[in-house]
Parts: sequence; C-alpha cells; structure tokens
Amino acid sequence: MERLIKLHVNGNDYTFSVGNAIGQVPESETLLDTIRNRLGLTGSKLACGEGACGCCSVLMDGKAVSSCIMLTVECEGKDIVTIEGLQNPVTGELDPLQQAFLDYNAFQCGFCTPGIIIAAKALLLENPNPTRKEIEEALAGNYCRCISHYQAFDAIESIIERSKA
Amino acid sequence: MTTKKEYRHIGKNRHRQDGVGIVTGRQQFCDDLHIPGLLVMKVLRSPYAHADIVSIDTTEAEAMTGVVAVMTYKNAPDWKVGTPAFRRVLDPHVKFVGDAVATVAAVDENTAIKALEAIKVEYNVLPAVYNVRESILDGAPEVYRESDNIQDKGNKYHNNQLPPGSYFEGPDAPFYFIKEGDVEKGYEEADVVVEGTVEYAVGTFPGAPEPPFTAARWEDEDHLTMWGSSQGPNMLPKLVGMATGKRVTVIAPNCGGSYGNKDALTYNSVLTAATALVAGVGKPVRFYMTKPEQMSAFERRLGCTYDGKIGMKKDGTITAIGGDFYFDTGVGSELTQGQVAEALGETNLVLNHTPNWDVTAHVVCTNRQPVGIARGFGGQEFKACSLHLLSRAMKALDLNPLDVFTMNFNKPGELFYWRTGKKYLNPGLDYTNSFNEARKRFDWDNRWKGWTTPSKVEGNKAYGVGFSVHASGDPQSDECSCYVRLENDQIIVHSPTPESGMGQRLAVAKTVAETFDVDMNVVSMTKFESLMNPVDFGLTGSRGTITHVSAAYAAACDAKKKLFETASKIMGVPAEELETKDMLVYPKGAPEKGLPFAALIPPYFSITGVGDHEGEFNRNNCVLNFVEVCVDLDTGKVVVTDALGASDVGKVMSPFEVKMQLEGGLGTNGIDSGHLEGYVLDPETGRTMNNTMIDYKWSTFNSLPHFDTLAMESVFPTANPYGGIGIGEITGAAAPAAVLMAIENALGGLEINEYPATPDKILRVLGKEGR
Repeated sequence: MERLIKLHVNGNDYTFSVGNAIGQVPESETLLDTIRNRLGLTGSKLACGEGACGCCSVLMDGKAVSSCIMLTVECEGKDIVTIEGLQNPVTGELDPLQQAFLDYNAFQCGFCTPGIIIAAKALLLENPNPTRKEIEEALAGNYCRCISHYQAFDAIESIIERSKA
Repeated sequence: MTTKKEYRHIGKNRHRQDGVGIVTGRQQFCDDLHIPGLLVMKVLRSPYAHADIVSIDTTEAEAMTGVVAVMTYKNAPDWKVGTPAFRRVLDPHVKFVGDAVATVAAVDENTAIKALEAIKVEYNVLPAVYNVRESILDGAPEVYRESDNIQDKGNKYHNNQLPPGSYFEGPDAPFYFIKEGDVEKGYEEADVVVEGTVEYAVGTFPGAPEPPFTAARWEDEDHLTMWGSSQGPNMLPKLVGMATGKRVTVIAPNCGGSYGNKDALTYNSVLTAATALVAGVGKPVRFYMTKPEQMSAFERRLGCTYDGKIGMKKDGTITAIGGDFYFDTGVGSELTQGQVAEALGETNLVLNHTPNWDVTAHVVCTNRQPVGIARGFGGQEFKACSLHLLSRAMKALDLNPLDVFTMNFNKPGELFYWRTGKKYLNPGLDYTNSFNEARKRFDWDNRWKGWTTPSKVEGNKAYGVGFSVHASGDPQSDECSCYVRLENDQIIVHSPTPESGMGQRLAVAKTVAETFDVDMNVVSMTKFESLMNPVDFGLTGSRGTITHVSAAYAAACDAKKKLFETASKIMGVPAEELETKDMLVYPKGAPEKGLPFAALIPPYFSITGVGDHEGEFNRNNCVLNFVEVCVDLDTGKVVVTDALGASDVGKVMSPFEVKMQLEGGLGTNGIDSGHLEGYVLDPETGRTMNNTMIDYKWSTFNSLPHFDTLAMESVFPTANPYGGIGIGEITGAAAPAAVLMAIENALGGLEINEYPATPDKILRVLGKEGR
C-alpha cells in the first residue's frame, strides 16, 4: 500500500508519496532536501551536512532544528516554519527579528543569517526576555565566519528592549 | 585633519540592496539557482597521501543508468592550473589524501555516489612528506617529478621547491627576496641580535560557510558558461580561459563567505569544466563540495616556517633583518609566489626604517592539501613569525612594542617595496595618529607592565596584553571599469562588483546616488554576469573601496556630464550652469525651472557614462590589533577577553560595514589562529583529522571576547572620491602575533615559538606537561 507523508510548512499542507521510485520521497531524504528541492524554499542552506553549523535551521513545533539531519519521513504532522515563513505572506511585513537584522545590518555574507534568525526566533518564542548569556548559548550552534555576531546581539536585544517598552 | 563635508549617503548607514533578500531567505546563492538539466558531479578521492595509480576500471560506473560522464586521467583534457601552470586536472600520480582520482556526472547525487563506488582503482603507495623541513632535503619523496617539467623564467622545480615569481612582476625578475644594505654590519651595530625559528605552520581552514560551488556548461566547443561562488568572479574567465584556451563567461550570485579563499576557484572550475566537456555540449554540470571536501581537499591557508635573525638597537632602531622563510604550499600553488611578494612588501611597510635586509622566501610543496589565497595573503603568515622573533629583541632591550612599531612604520614621503619588487613612494598617508589614538583607546600604557610582568594575576588566572600591526599596498592597485546608464527615471549601474559580505555593492550604489543627489532606491545595480559588465581584478586586497568606487564615481560623472549636455540643448541653458537633484535637472539655484530625467532622455534611448580606475601600488592601509588574554595556569587554556581593532580609513563609507570588517579580524584565522585553530594531520597517513565543523575549533557565539573598534578619518590622498581606503582584508592579519605576545606576557615572559599556542604548548613551557 502506498505510504504518504504529510508536511505542514509555512502554513501550507503538502503530501508526498514515500518510496524509491522517481519522484517519490525516499526514506533517506532529509527535510532540508525536501524543503529546498521539492518546495523551492532555498533560504535554508546546505553547508556542513551534519547539524554543526546551523545554516539549515528551521522551526519545528517552535524549536530550532537542523533540517540537514532530520529525515523527512520523521516530520509527519510537525509544524515547520522556514525563514521564508517568518515574513507575513499577505502583507509582506517582515518579522520583527528580520526587520531588526536588516536595520542593524546584522549580516555580511548572509549565508548563515537565515539559520541565525531562526535560532533567535526559537529562543524568543520560548523566552521573550533572555539575558545576553542566554542569547549567546541559544546561538552557539550557529557558526558565522564573517563575525556578524556583535551586530546580531544588538539586533536581537533591540527586539527585547522594544517589547519591554 | 578631519573631513568636514556632510554627504547624503556616504558615511551614513543604509540598507544593503540585498538586505531584505538575505533576512527573508530569498537572496540567491549559487546552489539556489535553477539551471535546467543540471547534472551532479562527484569526485573520487585518493585515500593515500602519495601514490601512483596502477590501474583504474570505470566500466561498471559508465554502464550505470543515469551516469552521463566518467572522467579519469585517461580522458581528461591536459589542462593545468597554478603558478606556474603545473597542476593537472587529473593525474595518475596522486599527491595528497583527497586528491582527485576520477569524476562522475550523473542525473542525481545518489547515482553519482554509487558510480564512484563502482570505480575500481589499484594504487602503488609511495612515501610521503608533510613538512617543509623534510621536503627540501635531497632524497625526499618527490611531490612533483622531473617529468612534470615545472619551470618559470629560467628557474626549475628543485628539491620540491617551486620556481619563484608570479605574474605580479610581469616580465621582470621574480620578487622573492629583499637584499639591501649589509646585514652583517647591521648585526654588528646592534645592541642585541636575536636568532631562532618561529612556526605558523599547521595550516588553517579559511572557513567560508558556503562550500565552493562551480557549475559549467559548454555552449559549443569554444564557449563555456560558468557559475561560481566567487569573491572575484572575473578571475574565472581569465584563469579558466588561460587553462582551457576557451572563451569563458561567468555568472556569480552572492557568495556565502570567501575571505579571499573563494576567489578564482581555478582548480575546481577546470575540474568541473573538464567533466562538463566529457558530458557533452549543452549539458550543465554542478560541483558543490561537501564540507569535509572543502576542509581537506580545497585550498587552505599556507603555512610558514621562519629561520630568522634580527638586530636591534636600544633606541628601537632595527639594524638588520635576515633569514629564510619557507611557505608550505601543499600540492598546489594558487599564487603562493604572489603571497611571497606581498609578504615581503607588508613586512617592509611595517619595519620600514630597517636599512639592512637579507630575507629569502622558498615555496615548498608537500603531500598536503593545496594552498590558496586567504585574507592576509602571505604577510599574515610571515609577519606572525618575523614580528614574533622581533619581540625577543624588544624584550631583551625592554622596549615598549607600541613605541617600536609606531617608530618603524612607513611614513609619508618614504619608500616601500610592493609586489612587483619595485619600491613605491607613500604620497601622504600618515598612520602615526592612529597608533597614538588606538594606544589610548586600549589603555595600553596602563595595561602593559613590561615583557615579563602580566597585566594582572587573579589566582590561577594570568592576564597579558599584546599588540601587532599589519599593512598592505593593495588598496589602490589594479584596474576596474564601470558603466552608468540613465534611462527614463532610472539610474542603472554596470559595475563588476560581486557580493561576498563586504557590502561593496552598497558603497558603489551610494557613490552613484551621491553623485546624482538622489535616493538610493533610484539606483539599480546589474547582477554579476561577465557579459553584462566591464571587467575588474576582483575585490581582494581591500581594493574595492578605492577601485570600484573610483570607477563608479567616474562613470557617474561622465553620465551626468552627458545628461547636462542633452539638457542644455532642450532647456537652452549652458551645461556648466545646470545642476541636478532628485532626478530633476535645473539651472543652478532654480529647481522650479527643472525638468525630470524622463523629459530629457528620449524614450528607448540610453545615456551611458564610462569610468575607469587605473591601479597604483603606493597607497597602503594599516590595521592595529590589540588583545588581552587570560591564561589558566593549571590547564593552559587561553581565553581572549578583550580586543581592539583600529585603523584610519580616510573616510568611513558605511559605518556598520567598517565596524563589522574590523570585528571580522576575529574570524578567518585571525585572532583564533594565535591560540585555538589549526588543522591536525595524522602523521602516519597524512589524513586531516579535523575536517568537519564539529572537530575544527573556532570561536562561537558563546565564546566571544569584548570587541572594540576604532575607525578614524583623515583626509587621505586616495583615488576614492571621498578619500576612503579599504581595510577589510587585513583586519585580523596582525592578530596572531598580538595573541602570542599577550600569552607570553601573561606567562611572565615564557617563550612559545609555534602557533597556535594551544594548552599543551603552554603547559610545556610552564613545566606542567604530562601532569
């Protein structure tokens, strides 16, 4: 009997057939491959491929996960949000974190930025008022080589300050 | 003197044009592009550090469904890359663990991987050599052979040393040594002479987050289209064109980090182009390295070993500098000889008043992964060694390093060597004030308590401070052109400016917006496609702030002049009496009489301005790195607790970008290569043991020091229309030497001569090894 997998990504439902025939989702396919290659959501990046750099981070039920080491077949029924899903799909309004990263220019090459924003979003969903130390720990799995960390701290803390006002 | 003029955009923070794309994930990088019919290329790599391929059987792989091309040395084109061109696309003589043995292009990744597994290879394993000391000895394993016939300008490959010189010298003699004055006399005049070896030799991973990407499609047998994740994409048409003899076009979307390292991508490019040639005309092939491939088979930072001797007087005068330095270039030399030339120039800029020199460079091949370009470009590696040896002399004479470096740095009106081997005159860039202001900002004179006294000690934690300086003659060098096109209500900029993180496209757009006095949103930049834009040298060496901005400014001025000439005929006002603001042209002081661009420029007609920048080698930048470290005297662990990156940039074009470039001195083998990061090689197999992001160490979000930046502004005589000078390439180049100075300072003057100063080395000098 044909096995189906249902994904809920950025508010939309998708159903895929699981198997090894051309066009099917094999058991070995990662969530990153599915969202990039089947859904065209290329904001999540393939870099280390072993869950070490954070470039592929997505929100899964509100938690940041490395989609390069998640198998798609394990994601049945999960609520997945990618970097593209943070922006309001109707108005185009940026998520406050996206706007803050833009305003603070909290990126240089920008390759890691989607993953960093996702990790910061997961933190703020869990704890809207984190300390600097908690922000540092929450982002410790996201590598950045350009050294945009300091601007990222400023961007994230601007959101927290605004929420206090 | 401080620049007084207020600009509309220059010096102000503005959103980068790709900013919304980056924060929403819409900005495309190479692997995000849709290229119809794209085949996936994978590479079979040597498990041995040195071997001859005895036999290779690809029959099974070629027969597999979905496999389009299989390439080995037998059917690969005889293209070569490197300096001089010597590294073959594929060779039966494999030279490092990870060397390419065969490639497969297939309809998908799984098929390509299965095909690689089906290729049968028999090797004759040979002895290998992994360090420069052993590699240059008679009888050492031959990384390249007599039959490879490597020679340039009359010099031959010998004892695993590549011939000196690169295209930097043109037809002139190779620049690989400085011999002037009389070093023996200099040593005699010195109050102290220090001699010894310093090693910055482990090799490090430049660390671009996006692995190298290249794709190739042959349009016909003479025309090749390439896509590349490159910092300087115009190097691809040039260098791949030279290797293949074909006409090459390149398309380059945003590049996910480079730090100098993903510049020409030459070997990966020709490997991809060759595989695409085997696949056939019209079949695009994509090569996106895995992270372990990037870390162990792509181009790393070079290693340096310096056997040196330096003489110094009590007054801080350096009387002589001599010795040999050996650059470990692994199996490849992507312009390592050029890095030699700039290493000599950069050291000469910093120790500029030294009258006697006898320093010679050697570029040595080993059975390690190839070397490429990385931020700091040779000077970082050589100065990490030579300035550390100099610290021995400063310590012996109890001299404050800030005094010594301030005094010896090149000043206006003084000559310095640059990459051609010639000397150039500094026309007026004085960094003395930068040294003085940064010294105050870091509170150096209170924190520095002498060479053998830590800044402070708290229990088993000792703190030390360190300082070093770097300079480069690149910022105004090499050519760049730009077109600015006016159409209806748009200003379109055709600048060959890629984006790999420095925000140089923003600086170009600002320059054009400033020249026309318009909002930023009126200005559009073309994408990076070599057929669409004029050519440049690339954004390496902090060039773009002068070269690209200068060309864009000239093109904008030319377009404005032509616009005024057109407007003059329509408005009946002499062109020289017109001015423009917000897309309106009007007689000076009378905007109410103005006409919009759209009324002046006929429909279906463009006004195009052309601008060129001509390179010069005599504008040097300067970056000062200060650090404080805390050393745990029980464990040997080093934590960088405070840092200052400082410079005079002439004019700040974009405040956020300058601050972040200075902070970037922490990354890309800057501060962290002083104490933390480096490759670990298995000495038995030659295999890189830390070729993953989990195993290779660098600073993370939860381990950063307090980082201060200082970007000063003087009026500098540069070709940047606002007087700016780029610094991005060198912001961390002095940092390793500063870190090692700080660690020794924390240790009360105990000496370490090998980077990185990891806990094992610190415990060894503390006499606590093996406890």
